[in-house]
Amino acid sequence: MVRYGLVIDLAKCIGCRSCVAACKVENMVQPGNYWNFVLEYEQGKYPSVRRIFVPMNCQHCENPPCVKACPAKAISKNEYGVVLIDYNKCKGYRYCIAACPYGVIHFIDKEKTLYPNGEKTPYEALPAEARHPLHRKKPGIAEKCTLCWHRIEKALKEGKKPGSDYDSSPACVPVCPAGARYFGDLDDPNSEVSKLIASRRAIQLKKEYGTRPQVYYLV
Amino acid sequence: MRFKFAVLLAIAALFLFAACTQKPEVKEVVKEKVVEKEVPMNLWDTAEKIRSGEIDVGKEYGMELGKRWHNIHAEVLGLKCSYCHISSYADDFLYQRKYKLPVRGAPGVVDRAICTGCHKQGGPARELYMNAGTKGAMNP
Repeated sequence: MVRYGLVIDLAKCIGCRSCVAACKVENMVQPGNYWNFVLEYEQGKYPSVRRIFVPMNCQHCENPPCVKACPAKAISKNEYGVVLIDYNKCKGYRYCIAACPYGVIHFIDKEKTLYPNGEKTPYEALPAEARHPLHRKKPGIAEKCTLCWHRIEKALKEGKKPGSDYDSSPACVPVCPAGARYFGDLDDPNSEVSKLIASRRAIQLKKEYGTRPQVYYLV
Repeated sequence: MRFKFAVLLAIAALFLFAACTQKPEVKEVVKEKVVEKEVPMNLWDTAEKIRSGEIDVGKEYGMELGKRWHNIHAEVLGLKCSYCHISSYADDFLYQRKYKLPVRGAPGVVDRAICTGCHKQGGPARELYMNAGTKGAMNP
């Protein structure tokens, strides 16, 4: 079985937000919402302090509370372990937002444009049919990271191994200047992500809730 | 010279005393009057009555006041607003949406340890968190 996931090396992350910007552009995420966001905080006491950067996106849990919470059954986990929202089924109840312990699901309350005068950028002006179904967002629905499923899906159709090159990886991975992000099959013991998890101290966020996230952090 | 030093020392001591005796400002987070309700003792029974429709919580799903979510948690179970809408997060609390304001004056949602009381595996409410304990989550 294939189970795609991310490994993020917190020792390498410099908090530059390249992943945040790449995600915004790739997925046409509207102002105010983030599919990927870097939280930061300070650890220790002066003079022994250090800044911690924690990039956070959907954890694509093996046991996702959002899927169970959705009354419209609009969220599902596909055969590759990616949790996706069906925008046609989503009714905007926001139960998923309340159930997610990571706070990574956002609600689109109204259409916002990047230009302050309300004018649409060429990307925003693209008609719905010209977009991937996961980019056909509309007001009144929930949105979140798809692990760039449109890229993975394309790679699979072309017979490429997802994560093998720039275009077949989630947009946030190859843009990281520190090389802190890794993508791959968690079920393949020979994949880079599996080797990193096995060789380094890898943790899952808030695993106390039994969500079993597919995003690992190297600490 | 010694006199000047003594005066400065006295002024510094006064400032220190004033700082110590000043009370920290406490901001009022939820301004609406919270109606105290008796929390039903038998949650299993209550959950079953909600599921069977014996307790009417409405048919409209949604997070807004007057819809099912608040009808169940606030009206039937009598949870106070401050139980879920906390005033601020700890710096190292890893919740991505913590910069957003779901409700004016109440920035956030609590750690899910509150929810797991009922929404854990084998709990009275719909199972959302498998094998979850009721202890708060740890950060790296």
